[in-house]
Amino acid sequence: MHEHGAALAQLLLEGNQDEAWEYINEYRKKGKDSLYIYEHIITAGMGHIGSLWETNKISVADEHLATSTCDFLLARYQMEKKKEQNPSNSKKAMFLCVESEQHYLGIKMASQLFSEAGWTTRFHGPNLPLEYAKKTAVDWQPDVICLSFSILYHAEHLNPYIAELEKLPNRPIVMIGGRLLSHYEFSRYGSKKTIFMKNLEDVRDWIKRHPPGVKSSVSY
Amino acid sequence: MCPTKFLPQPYFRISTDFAILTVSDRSLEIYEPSGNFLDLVDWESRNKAAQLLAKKDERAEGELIMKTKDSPYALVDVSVVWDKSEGHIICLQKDHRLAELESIVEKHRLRLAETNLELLEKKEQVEKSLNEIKSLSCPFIKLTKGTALVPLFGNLDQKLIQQNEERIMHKAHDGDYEDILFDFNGVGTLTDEGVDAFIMLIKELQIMGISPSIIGIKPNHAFYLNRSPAKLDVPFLNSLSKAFKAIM
Ligand code: B12
Repeated sequence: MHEHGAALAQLLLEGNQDEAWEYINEYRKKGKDSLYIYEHIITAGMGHIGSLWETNKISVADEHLATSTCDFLLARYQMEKKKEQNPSNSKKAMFLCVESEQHYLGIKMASQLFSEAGWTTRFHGPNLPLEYAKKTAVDWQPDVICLSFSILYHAEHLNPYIAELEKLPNRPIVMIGGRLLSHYEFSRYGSKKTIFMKNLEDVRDWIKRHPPGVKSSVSY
Repeated sequence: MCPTKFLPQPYFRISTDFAILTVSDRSLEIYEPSGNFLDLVDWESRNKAAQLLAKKDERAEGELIMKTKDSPYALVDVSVVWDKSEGHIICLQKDHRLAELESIVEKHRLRLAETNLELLEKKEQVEKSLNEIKSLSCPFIKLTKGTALVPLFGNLDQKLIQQNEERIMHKAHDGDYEDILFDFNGVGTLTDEGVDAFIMLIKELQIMGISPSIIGIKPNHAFYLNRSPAKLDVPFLNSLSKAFKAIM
């Protein structure tokens, strides 16, 4: 896992889209699934970039370049996966980062796992204020709304987002994820219904228990 | 009076345990008053700060996340020089320089996302109308009490059958039909998967005790129907009137 981190980080920092693609495509062709590629290669790569910054070897400007290369990588990977994917089914999930939150790569991976399992998804990216989130959710009526945050100060948004979204007329399930969840307990910001996900493995298991073809009103 | 008070940038003089000894006025404009320099640093930048400040034999520089009066996570370029047991630090905020870059990146990202979403919506609409067309391509018409006509239109592919088989089975069952005539006059081309699915449907109807038959077969249809490994055991009749005579 560490060697993946360093190897991919290098390519992302160079902005080397083609070789970065080759790097993950090799593993895809060898039969590694999306969970492995997202968690053990791409997340590890971005994590390594974080430690390079912490040891003063790169700057935030470098992180910007790496991020856009990584974003491209995810889009290309999903395009490739779409060819073998089940057609999207009846269940819908929407994805967004809470207000002010710019770290969207993680939730983008989560959204791609849902699509791959046959869910109809909408990805709204970083920084979606609650008002917009509510409006979209009222119109589109997703079964699940996934939120992400990475900056500790943004945890204060969880409470209003969760409360407001859970009481929408179609009673969506609200799911929370982000890097801090594997270290700290955030359940006090949610209700009994809210789901807090520690990593993508949990997400995969949850998706398995909730196949998109089966409509059920409440279950988690 | 200390001349560093008037330095035009945020300046801190610290001791070896990072306690703040003096600051410039500019520091107080930007940062809350604090006893220790590390208290101004974001908790996830503290290790980095401690390492940076520990380099006593050379000038050290690096980025840190710091808490300012305006933001709990401002990006700051920090440089430090030590003179014996005292450190001299200048903190230059970087955010405004990055902000421009960020807004450009963000605009690109939004454009891309919007375009995708628009396309997605169009695609969903098209898929929906396609499904509707497929349902319309397979109407179920009652001819007599025990007989129904199902004219097929368009291409006979897997989708056409999948989309309609459930409806046909239900109607056939609920209406107590004995005979169902599938009319191939409007069928264009056939696919192997479409033929297999059609044969499955016929077999299921037969299990339900219904006698399906096929009318309006053209030579190219026959070629496909016969090519399938599953054999069709139904009468082929070339017109509706013949079909009626056969049934009555
Ligand atoms: C890359 C990066 C950036 C990129 C953003 C990348 C992007 N668009 O996503 C850029 C350069 C833009 C950036 C900006 C900033 N960043 Co930054 N960034 C990072 C870095 C290095 C990596 C983050 C990353 O992409 N990880 C990889 C992803 C895939 O991991 P993940 O998000 O955890 O996701 C996983 C899971 O959590 C899960 N998941 C995530 N979301 C969800 C949602 C659901 C529903 C589910 C089920 C699962 C799930 O899925 C993933 C796979 O398991 C981290 C360092 C670190 N240690 O994390 C700092 C870090 C997070 N950033 C930090 C900071 C401070 C900033 C800035 C304030 C700096 C600045 N002033 O410029 C800004 C803040 C912008 C803002 N307002 O949000 C700090 C946060 C400190 C804190 N106190 O919280 C960190 C920790 C760095 C540090 N040591 O100081 N950053």
